[in-house]
Amino acid sequence: MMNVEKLRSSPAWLAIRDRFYETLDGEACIRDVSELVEHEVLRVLSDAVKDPSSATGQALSRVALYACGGFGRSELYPCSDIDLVFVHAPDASSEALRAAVRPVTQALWDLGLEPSHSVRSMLEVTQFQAGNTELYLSLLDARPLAGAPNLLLSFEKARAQLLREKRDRIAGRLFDLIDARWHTFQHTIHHLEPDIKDGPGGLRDLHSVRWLSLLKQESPFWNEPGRWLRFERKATAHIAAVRCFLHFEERRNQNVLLFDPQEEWMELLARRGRDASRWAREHYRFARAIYREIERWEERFHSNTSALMTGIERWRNRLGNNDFSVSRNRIYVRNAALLETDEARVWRLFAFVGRHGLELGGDTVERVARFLEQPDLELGRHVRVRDALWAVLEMPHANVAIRAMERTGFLAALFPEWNDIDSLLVRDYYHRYTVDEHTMVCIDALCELGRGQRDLDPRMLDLAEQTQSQPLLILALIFHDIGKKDGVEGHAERSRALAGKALERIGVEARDAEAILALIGHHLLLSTAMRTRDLSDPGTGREIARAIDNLPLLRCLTLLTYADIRGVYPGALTPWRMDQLWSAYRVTQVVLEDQVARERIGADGDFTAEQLSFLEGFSTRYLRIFLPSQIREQHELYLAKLRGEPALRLRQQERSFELIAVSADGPGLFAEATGVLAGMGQNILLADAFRNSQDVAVLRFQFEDPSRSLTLNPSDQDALVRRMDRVLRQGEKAADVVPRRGVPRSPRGPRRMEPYVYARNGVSPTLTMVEIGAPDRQGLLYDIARTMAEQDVDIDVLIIETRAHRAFDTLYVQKDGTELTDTEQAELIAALLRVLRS
Amino acid sequence: MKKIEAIIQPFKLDAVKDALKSLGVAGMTVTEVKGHGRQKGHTEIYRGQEYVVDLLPKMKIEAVLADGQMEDAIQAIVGAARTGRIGDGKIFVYDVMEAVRIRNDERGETAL
Repeated sequence: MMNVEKLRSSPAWLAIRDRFYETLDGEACIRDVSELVEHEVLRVLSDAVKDPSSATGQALSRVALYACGGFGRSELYPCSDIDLVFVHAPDASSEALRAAVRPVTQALWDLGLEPSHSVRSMLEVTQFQAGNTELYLSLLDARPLAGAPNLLLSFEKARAQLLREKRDRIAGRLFDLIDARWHTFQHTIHHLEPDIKDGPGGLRDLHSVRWLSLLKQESPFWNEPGRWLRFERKATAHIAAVRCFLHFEERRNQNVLLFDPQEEWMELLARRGRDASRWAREHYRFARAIYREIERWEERFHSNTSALMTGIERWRNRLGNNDFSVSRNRIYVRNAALLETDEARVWRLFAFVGRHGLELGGDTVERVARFLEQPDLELGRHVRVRDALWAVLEMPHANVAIRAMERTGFLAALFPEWNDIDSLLVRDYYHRYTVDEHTMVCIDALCELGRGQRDLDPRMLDLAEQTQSQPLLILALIFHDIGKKDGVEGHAERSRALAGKALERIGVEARDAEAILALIGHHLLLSTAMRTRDLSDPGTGREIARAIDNLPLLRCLTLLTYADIRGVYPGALTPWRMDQLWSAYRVTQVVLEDQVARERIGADGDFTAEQLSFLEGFSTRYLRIFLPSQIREQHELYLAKLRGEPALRLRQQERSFELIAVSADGPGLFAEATGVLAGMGQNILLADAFRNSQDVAVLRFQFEDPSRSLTLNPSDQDALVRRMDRVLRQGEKAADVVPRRGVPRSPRGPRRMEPYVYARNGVSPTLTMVEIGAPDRQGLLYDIARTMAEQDVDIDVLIIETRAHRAFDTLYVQKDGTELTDTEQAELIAALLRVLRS
Repeated sequence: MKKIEAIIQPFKLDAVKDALKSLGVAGMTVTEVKGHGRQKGHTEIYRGQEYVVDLLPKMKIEAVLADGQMEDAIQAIVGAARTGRIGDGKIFVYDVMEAVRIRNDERGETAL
């Protein structure tokens, strides 16, 4: 008998191995290995029963021997286990048989094979036991090797009956096993070091589709059975080749394609004239198709069987609307044919996904695919893409919607740049996923913050609450690694350039696009600082602040970095790294806050002497906000003011208005100006106020016109300018020039927020910083400014932002030319909170 | 043989690694740790609330060296990790009784 070394070094074995390395034909290899091993198994069995009078011979003559698993399928990999099942008649003793088969299995061990065998009574096959479903699954591939004809026949009958009667139980158990296995791989196919056997979309799943097809007596891809068979052959050939390679190289049943063997495999492919660069992407595409096929089977299975979920189902059904219904946690289209041609409906579908966090049903996926197959498809022909996209990205489960868009191909249709990172494998000892999946995991992490998930870091939850910029951040994440298609080095800049074109194409407003591009271009800034810079040194903060020059953008970058780290692998954002990220944020935040308060423009720059005199004393933030052309225009307004003429300009923008005014500063000036806008029903989105060393104030307001009175009536615009001029130039009160309209409406946002007011000294010798957050409402800023004026507090610099029905204001204030005392701060905070809560 | 355990500022990790490599010290273990010595942390105010940050992020580098390399390695770490400010860290040195390379059972300094 051969020993271990003899089998592995036998001419037949070496010939199989050499043929494989020559042709890379994995299917032929597993067939040949299977035949060789079968030959050896039968030889060993024959040796064992050579003496029919012996106990072993007598016992073995009364069993049927079956090959299971890969051996049963005649697809045995070089180092796989040899699955054998000895089935005996009901009247025989399993115990006696176990002793009888021992010499057989020992002989196989001696051959260097790894038999994994069991001895079963025919009763175990005929009488279903719920705890034994793995056995029944293994019987799906069982192939008879030897045995008494009557036993083989009985077995076939029993197996057929069992599978017919218990198919749903067995299939249900199979789905449980699949789910548990997928869970260990985070339910994603996109691992950089994939397990090609057990990983999602791997060989085990390919076999599972075959088993489900046998159990349910239905074809995969049920509309086109032949299509699945063609696919299965290709997928098997693809996986078999790399798995045979791994087994030969590692000399064991090793199925994880680690980086080193990956490189060796790529080199081998290249030596054999194959396109190695295409191989990795093909691998993930096969895996994706297999994974989705399993999902389809599961969806069909549960739609037919589960009664347990009926209660939840009823509740879910109530989520439906005129367009969509919900069944078994999946979304279906009520008038499916309309979806194939109606872009607005497709966008509404993704917004619906984003609202409820539910997956698309298989039929819905097909319908969206057909929508995309229209020959003259042009997204945005009947829909304003930017607005439709925002409606999706603002949703609490926008991450689920983005995954649905990716799955249906809609994301790549919207952003063809996405194809650059589809299944893109960039080898890196830290990242676990392909670039596209990493991006998706980042978006998942971001949206968890947006939903306020309680188990997350409270500091990040707080930043997310303040920021409310989910659409900008998701777009920045979608594009942040797009440039990796040409390598990691310099990818941030390439990503930024590609994103710039895409954002312009879909009509993202300049201000938003600028923020998104800054986030993409600097997406490595904080993570690099975390590793390489002293985070207690204000110099680090100043350096970061040179690139990220305002607090809202810094908050966004911090959130983006948080999501980017969490997308590297589960657990990548350790508490240690979280603290480092927070330190990087804080050291920059303090610098930015202090800059606003301390840094003043000096007498230099590309301006005339007159203009420089006008600029003297403004915060440096003023220079960052306004372009030189705008500054010159404001200087013109200043000159108009000196001549005693109106010094303000109103401009209509795409969806809002901008008012710039220059005025002598005075008590309550800002409050009165906001009062005019509030009184005329305008909703202030952004406001800035600056004061130079000559006590000249520049006020800028961006506001929307909810009733469209200004938009539709040019005379109302004139009235606004006249009234504002009376307040600013002639010192009249807002209440005297314009009657305030009605009671402000309550905000109708996704979530209410509790107002807060914080104050701190130390940002400059003369200023106190006040931070305010509150639900936005008409007249809010007026109320804040008026309260300040009532407390004799002067506003030196004001920065307000309004997002998602929430207003976030940062004010730098003083009283009698100096910072507020503790008592004055407490009084101001109490007065502001009274107003904000009223 | 000696084991060196260096607690350093996180941003000095690359410099220390490079300095050790230039001495021929190839193997080391790096761990993200938190702690404090005399530095003792500090109090932060964020949005009106006070937070005590008592454990500060540091990096721990562990390397086992031949006896003759120890002094050079200490000097290399000190040179690379020093900023002159509180919080630069500490180096601890231990005697090592034995080293075993698991792959081939090599012992002593050859296993390093």
